[in-house]
Amino acid sequence: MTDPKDTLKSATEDLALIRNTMDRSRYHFDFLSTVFLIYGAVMLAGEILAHILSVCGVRDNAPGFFIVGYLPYVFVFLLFVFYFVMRRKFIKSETLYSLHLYDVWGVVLFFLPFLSLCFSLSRFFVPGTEKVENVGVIGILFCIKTLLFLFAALITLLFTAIALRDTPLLLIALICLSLFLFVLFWGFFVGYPRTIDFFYGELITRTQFLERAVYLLYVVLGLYLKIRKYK
Amino acid sequence: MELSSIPDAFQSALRLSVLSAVMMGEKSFRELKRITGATDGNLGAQIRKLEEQGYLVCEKTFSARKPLTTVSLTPFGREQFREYVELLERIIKEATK
Repeated sequence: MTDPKDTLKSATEDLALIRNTMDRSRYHFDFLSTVFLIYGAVMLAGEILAHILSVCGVRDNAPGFFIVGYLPYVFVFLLFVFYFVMRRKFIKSETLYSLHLYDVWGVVLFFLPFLSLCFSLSRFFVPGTEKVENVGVIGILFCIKTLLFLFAALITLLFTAIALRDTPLLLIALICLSLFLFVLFWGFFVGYPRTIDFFYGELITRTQFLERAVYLLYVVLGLYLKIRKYK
Repeated sequence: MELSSIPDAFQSALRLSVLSAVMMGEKSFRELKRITGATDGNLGAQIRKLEEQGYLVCEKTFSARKPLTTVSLTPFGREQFREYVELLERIIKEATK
């Protein structure tokens, strides 16, 4: 007959082994948390810099325009190169499921700045922003861009929640917040008056606020995943 | 599951590690190798045994033109694993009474 002490020792060891193995088997968010953090921080810093330059009245000067308009995209491109190199490493060891997760995050993070760049360049192809009809077109582009940003944040949060399995309250709160902002802005997009005053006033203020909120959300998500790693 | 009838699948540390890892979601052979620290031969043999006993399902696909073996748990394997963890918890609970 087995000694009860041996049985207890063996049971404790097996449980410890199960716990340790499960810990090692979680998805590795270290790399992704860095990407979220850098992406959010750089884009947010770009927005703050744009605001400071705007207050100082030098935003539309040649260097100011370049810094505000295109420097964040250079950073995002460098981040994309880093992401791409890391993804090549993952192909060798990760499952198709986790690779698909990385791909979704990659599309969400890097396709949107690219789309945003296209939208900002589109202004050059819609001449005469003093005309009401053209302001209407640019306004719609601004709104679509913001809606895509919010949608992307929502998708990122949902996929992170799925991958984490034990969905924490913070993520649920962030998902609800982005969903609320998306619905709120959708209502605003459907009913806003397409006038020049409204476009240069409330519309730009709202889209800027929402974009900054999304960048902040990525910073929070990156920080949360980093802290979670050390728990 | 009773103490006197613990299945063979849970009586080796490596097999238990493989089952614990796969409980967290499907894993590739390379991932399991990294997690368990086992050699290719040993890990392959244990996975084969667990597959024969109906605990695991192995699927061979291609990723970036390279062969990729993915291992996932069957409903029977999940149920047995749950029962085994419950048994371990029961043993510890009774011993600390």
